[in-house]
Amino acid sequence: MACVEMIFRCLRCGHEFEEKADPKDFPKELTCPKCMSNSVRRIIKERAEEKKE
Amino acid sequence: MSEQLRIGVFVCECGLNIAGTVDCDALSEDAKTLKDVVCVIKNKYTCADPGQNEIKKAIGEYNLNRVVVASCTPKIHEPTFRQCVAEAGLNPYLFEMANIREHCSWVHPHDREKATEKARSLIRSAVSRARYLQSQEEATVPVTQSALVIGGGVAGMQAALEIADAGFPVYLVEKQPSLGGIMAALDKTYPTMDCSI
Amino acid sequence: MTYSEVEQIAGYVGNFKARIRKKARYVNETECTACRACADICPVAVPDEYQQGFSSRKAIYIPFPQAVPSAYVLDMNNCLGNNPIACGKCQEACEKKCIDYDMKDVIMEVDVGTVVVATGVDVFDPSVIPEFGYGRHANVITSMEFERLICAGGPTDGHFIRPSDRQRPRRIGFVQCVGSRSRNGGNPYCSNICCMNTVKDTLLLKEHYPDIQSSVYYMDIRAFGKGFEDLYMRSKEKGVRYIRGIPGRIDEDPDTKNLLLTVENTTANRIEKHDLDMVVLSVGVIPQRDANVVQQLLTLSKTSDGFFMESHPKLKPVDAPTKGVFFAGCAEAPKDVKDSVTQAGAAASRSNILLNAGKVKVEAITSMINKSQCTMCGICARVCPYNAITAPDKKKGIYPVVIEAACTGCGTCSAECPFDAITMRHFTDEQIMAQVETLLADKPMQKILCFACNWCSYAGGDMAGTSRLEYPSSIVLVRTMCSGRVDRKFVLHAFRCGAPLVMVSGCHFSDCHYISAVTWTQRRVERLWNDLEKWGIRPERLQLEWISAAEGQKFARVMRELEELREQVTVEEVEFTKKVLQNKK
Repeated sequence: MACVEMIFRCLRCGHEFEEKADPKDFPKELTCPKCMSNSVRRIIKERAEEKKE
Repeated sequence: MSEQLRIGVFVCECGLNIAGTVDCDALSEDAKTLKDVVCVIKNKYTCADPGQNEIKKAIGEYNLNRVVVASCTPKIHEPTFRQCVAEAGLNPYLFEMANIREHCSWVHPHDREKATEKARSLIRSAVSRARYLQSQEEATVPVTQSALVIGGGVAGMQAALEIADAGFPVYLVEKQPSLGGIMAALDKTYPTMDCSI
Repeated sequence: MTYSEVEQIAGYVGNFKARIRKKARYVNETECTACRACADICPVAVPDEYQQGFSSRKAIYIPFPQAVPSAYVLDMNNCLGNNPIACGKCQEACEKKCIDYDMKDVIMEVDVGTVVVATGVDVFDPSVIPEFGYGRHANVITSMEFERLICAGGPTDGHFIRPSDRQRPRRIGFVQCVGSRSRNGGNPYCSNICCMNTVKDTLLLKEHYPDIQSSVYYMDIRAFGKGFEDLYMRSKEKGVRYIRGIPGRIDEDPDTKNLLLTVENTTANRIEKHDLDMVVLSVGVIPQRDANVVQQLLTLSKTSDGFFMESHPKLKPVDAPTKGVFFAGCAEAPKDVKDSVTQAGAAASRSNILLNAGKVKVEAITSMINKSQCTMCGICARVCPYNAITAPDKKKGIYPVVIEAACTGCGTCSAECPFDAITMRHFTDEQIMAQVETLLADKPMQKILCFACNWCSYAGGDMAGTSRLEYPSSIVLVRTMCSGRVDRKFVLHAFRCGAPLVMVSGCHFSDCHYISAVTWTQRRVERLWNDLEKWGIRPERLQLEWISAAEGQKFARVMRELEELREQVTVEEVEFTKKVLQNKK
């Protein structure tokens, strides 16, 4: 599994957090660990994925 | 759209469930001012037989070609009202609901003014949508009267037998040379400790 | 049809066409009398799969005495030199002359109205857990091997002996949850059947040999079914020891081949070492290894544990998301014989409803392709969770076609079509746009426009209502069948109409009523966030939430949170947005 460090930002409470994840698992349900909202935006994507899009 | 739109709006009080929080008279008055709305009727319980009869009567009387009911969630009574308008000769898809109970009166009980304002928006929105509704047909497709069962273990065999017992041909496909699956390799089965073969 | 595999399934509810390969058996199964003359003379002996390799069979064999059909089968992979002419003894020995070396696979095409998927499970292979020594220690066996050793029809005629010296073991340990409920070296789920299977095994041993000492090493004994607890108590009364703790390691004495098991007894809170003659690993079950073939053929989806996903976990537990397809047995989740039979009965009954009616109503809410706008790009066919749209062929000028009987009306195709070439019946663009416009016609700054899917988030709102959970009256909802229907232009239009805040909401990923449509919602919203930001609009103004039908509390909480966000949006911001979005798509 090619896990990479990703940065997420919650668009509800503004909380930013990092998590290791496999880009292949996306899109998936994301939840802000602080406010539990699902409005979580991936702000740094893995490079390969960026190229694909 | 060539036909002239003739929309009927039915406001339900739901006893006090809606009327206790929302000014249903004001809603009715507002609905009357909307374009293409030719009849507005307020009911204590629109879903009950008298309420439904009023809808049917109005469809005939006013020659309605769209019906909007402002009451509870469509998840409860959409089928009821679709059936009701169908009985009056209208295509069931020419019916629309505004949810002014679950999404309005029950959740904004302490602000009559705001709740009424929101209910008004919801009804207006339903009426706008109703303008664009079209008849839909629920087509049927034939079903070939036989079944395929993939896997000849205990579940597959049981399913195949029961379908066959109902009189339909079944194709049971098992990749191994024999039926039986895992169960055939067991000695006894719980909880009765009887033989598995 | 035994010894057969489904190769291809096309079509839709009521009208499936299946291609089945009936593999060459090299023995005419209707003529064969199972007289055994062929096997007696066959010179090839290979391990017998049915007896878990404890005994051997011939290259021409019958899987087990009670096999159905009661006919031999020639295993060409093991037949002499793969060239029967080299030997040919069995053909000579067969009186009925039913052995045919030139038999070919037969392809059959059948038309069926329904499909029952009963592909079952495979058994977990414990050799991946090195500390238990399976494969290294002769006297560590699996529970499947146990079944054969204790069975009167087994390789030992029911005499329970240990493999190393063929002596009867006196002290036996059962290790539970092998391959189950484990984050490393196995599967996270509970395999459902192993606890009771071990309880059964201990009782069988006590019946055969009252003096035997059995001990069971467990995490929890899950004896939840009818008569289960009773059986468990019986086992305890018979003197079986239940020790709470999974062994850390099993070592073998090289001389005696006895086993030394080390376990943390979590009840006594100490490390214990137990001398045993034999250990049975109570192995879990895993999804059928070749189930993905069936999965692809029928466009089914799987839950994260690898078992097939049902249409609805509570209300439609035997229906597949693909209409006309039903599950029976372990294909859907691990279950015991009784539950398998129960589900099989339900699957048969569900299937018979369709077969009996001879016709099926299809959704009126389906999508429709308008050829005049279609560019044959094929996106619709790709995003459809049901494969209900046939892929177009630009070169040949073939347009995509919606198979209406397979379409369930989620609207993802319509929302994803970049050319607005797909109309979603009863949830058309103009209907939804009209709702958006009307809701925002009056005091838009006071409104939060929320798109909600019929099955979950809209119902979650209903739940909030039924529970009388108050939330701000600024929230107004637009219902779609699925959040997958929410076209980006609806969102942009809402902003254009002056909405300070827009929310898209749908089902949690695990209970999307349209298999995977919700993943397209997520992608679309992510793209919108990027675009909004690019255009200088705060992406925070587009909110996303997954709310289930039961989450009335969450619905109300989210709505209160949104109200706080709405209050931060300024009139200038909204006016700027309107201007920017004037000609954006």
